Amino acid sequence: MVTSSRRLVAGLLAALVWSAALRTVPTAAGTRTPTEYDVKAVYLLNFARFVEWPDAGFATATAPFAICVLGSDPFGSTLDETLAGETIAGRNLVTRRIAHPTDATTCQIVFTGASETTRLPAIVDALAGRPVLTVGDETAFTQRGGMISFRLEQSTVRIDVNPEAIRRSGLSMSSQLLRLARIVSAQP
Amino acid sequence: MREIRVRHTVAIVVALLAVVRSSPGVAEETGSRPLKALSVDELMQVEVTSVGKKAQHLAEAAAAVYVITQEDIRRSGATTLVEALRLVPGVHVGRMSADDWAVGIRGFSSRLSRSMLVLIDGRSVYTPLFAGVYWQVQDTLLEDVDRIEVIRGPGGTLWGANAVTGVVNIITKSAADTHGQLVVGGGGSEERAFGGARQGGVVGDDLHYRVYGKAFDRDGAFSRNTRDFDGWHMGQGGFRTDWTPPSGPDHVTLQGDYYDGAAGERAVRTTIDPPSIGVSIRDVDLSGGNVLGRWEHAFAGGSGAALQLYYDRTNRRDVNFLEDRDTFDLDFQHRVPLGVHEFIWGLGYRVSSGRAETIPSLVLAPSRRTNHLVSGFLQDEVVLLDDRLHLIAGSKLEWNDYSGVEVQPNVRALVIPAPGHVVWAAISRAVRTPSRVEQDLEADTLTDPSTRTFARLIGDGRFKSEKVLAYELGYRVQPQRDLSFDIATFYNAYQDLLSAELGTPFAEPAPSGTRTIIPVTLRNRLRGDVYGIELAVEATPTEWCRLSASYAYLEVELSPDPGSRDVIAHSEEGASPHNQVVLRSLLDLPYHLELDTTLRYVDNVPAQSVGDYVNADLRLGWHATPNLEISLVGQNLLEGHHAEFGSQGGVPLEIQRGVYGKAVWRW
Repeated sequence: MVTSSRRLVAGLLAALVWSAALRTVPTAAGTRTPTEYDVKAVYLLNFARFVEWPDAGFATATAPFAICVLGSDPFGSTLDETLAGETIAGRNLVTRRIAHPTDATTCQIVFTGASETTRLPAIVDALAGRPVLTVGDETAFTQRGGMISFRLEQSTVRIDVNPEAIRRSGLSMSSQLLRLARIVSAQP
Repeated sequence: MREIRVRHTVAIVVALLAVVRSSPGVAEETGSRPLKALSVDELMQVEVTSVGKKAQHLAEAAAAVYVITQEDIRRSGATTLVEALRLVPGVHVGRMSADDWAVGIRGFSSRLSRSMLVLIDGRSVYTPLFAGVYWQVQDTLLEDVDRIEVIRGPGGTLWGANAVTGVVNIITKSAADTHGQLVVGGGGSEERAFGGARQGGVVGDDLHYRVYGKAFDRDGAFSRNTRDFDGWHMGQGGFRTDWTPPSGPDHVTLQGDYYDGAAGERAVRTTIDPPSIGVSIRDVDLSGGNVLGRWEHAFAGGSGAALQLYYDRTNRRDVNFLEDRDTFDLDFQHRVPLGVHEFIWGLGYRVSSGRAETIPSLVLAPSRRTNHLVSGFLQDEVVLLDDRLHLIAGSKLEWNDYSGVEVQPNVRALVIPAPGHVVWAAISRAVRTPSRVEQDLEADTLTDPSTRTFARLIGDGRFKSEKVLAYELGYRVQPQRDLSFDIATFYNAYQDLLSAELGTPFAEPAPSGTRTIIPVTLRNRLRGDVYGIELAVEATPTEWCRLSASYAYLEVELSPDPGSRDVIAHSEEGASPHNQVVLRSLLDLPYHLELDTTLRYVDNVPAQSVGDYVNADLRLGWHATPNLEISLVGQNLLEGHHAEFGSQGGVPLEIQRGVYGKAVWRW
């Protein structure tokens, strides 16, 4: 019994020493490995830059450009941090969290997380014909009528684009972005 | 002995520190420019970690859920699904031999884990023959596993009977996420040789597919008094297709597997005539297959439905018995959001038919038995106060032909008092329903050759379900982005637990002379109080380093009902360790290297005469090119061999230190 508790203490001690030592290693500022959602947040910013919205898509001439997260929010603070201080064609960029697809009609970009998979048709229905860019976290999103979906390839983030769905909403995507995306078949 | 062990630990720690300190430039690959300044094609090359997603999933559950990700499996060096469960706080995994494991969640560790439900892509792998899971035949290409969700605590309301102590959900990737070719191969001292290959792609635009095959050969465990006999080899192949028609809100999955192999087992064989006792050692032939189809449909208005059908076949040629079993299962689920409510309801039907043959001293009569299971459930989740209060209530209603109607309700609440804080509580009832053993079994074991006395274990069909009423309370907090804590406590009140009642000895005539039989009957005359706490911490102190630590404490107290002459309470009580600690570190080093360490302490398992132990696994991985990953893994490094759980056919086996190398090539 004595031996076993000594063994435990030895093991725990070693582990403590080791984790404490790790914490003292200085982090070089600004060189941390980004998380998946750090990168996705920057993608959303780029979508705002590389897609054109008609003026009719905004309530007023000075209305902000809204990027909305529908349902559960996987970004934490990183989306707000990424968009802080950015403007799109003179409009301030803002983030909003929304609970229902119908709230998305006043957004320019709607991001839907993995938790919303079964609500996809409702989202697509609610936004049909409106100039709202729909972005999904699941690969299947574009195949189900969404416009852009994220896809993890090894440990990099890539995008799928459904150009037909974008065209029908009255938006246009720059060929610069289209060129880099995997094109998902348009609906019949 | 101890000194050597400590010296080993110290050596590993020193080695680690040396490497860590010489790695200031780890993250410089992403460049010093902020992500925002990258062009889109540069952005596409940025390597990311997916810690955030996992934390998100966990935060929303009103249960003690732990998710083992693909990354966790890859970096743990685990070569089987069951070994990966060692990462979960509060789960006890005791390897009994090369091919047998005892697993326990919150107590009751045993070879077949009778109170725990295991599903692979929605297919139950719990056998109604002996109640439990034969881990040796639960496999797939590990690289294709998306995640393993482990729920500690009852899951009867959603998953049905036998989800008493916990549920293990093994979920493989969609075929849409496994395009391309993958070849994996390796070998070593214990993992003698293994290899696998997968080919994935898409037909047209929407029919994604993959096919895979794998095989392995494992060395036996260490035995002090016999040559090792538990070598193990197996081959498995399978496929999965996922089809999403472009126009529709449908998703259709079709998948299947086939496996064949053999594992060495040793068992005591009792005969009616003298010498009455012998030992059999032989390769147990194992084979089986399954095919599963699932159709998911999302309706306008936000509701969704899933219809699933599977067929599963298992063939087992064990030492003292054989069984062939066919199972069909049909399951329907419908999710309906309605204002602040979200209803989920479902219906299920399962028919399972097994044919057994046995040696004369072991009787399973009738030799074939077919069981039916009909179930339905309804659960409502109400989200109030701006998403900060979730209330969940529901129940399963199930009918089986052993114990009739079973009700398994639960009530759960989840509160988010402030961002980053989650408090949850649950009260639930779950049952473990009878299996063939408690219904049809008579098994004789010689206890005294001089008087020709045999103990006879009798399952006569009067065994009822085991019941638990579980009270759980949990708290999760993420004080900062790179640090999270998860605390879960529970009190499980068991009733009608399995007991083995000693009866009055009687004489039985046999051709070779009269024998004395001591009957031991399976009944439900134990009560149990099981309580404990599980703590887990995850931290990312620097971005190239992930640390996690967990501690679990468990107390199992069983008491026989008045008048009971039970003989197993003691061994059930001591089947799981009181204390367990797991420490892990995952380091991303320069030159595309990874160094991953797991250190674990498992308290003694008194019922199995197994002492406590500290052991360590170490993995060094190298991404030689974006397509090629090479790794060297050391398992159980701190001791030459150590016991983890029980014995086979009376012979205690010990798990040996093992080292293997592995290469994974994708293109």
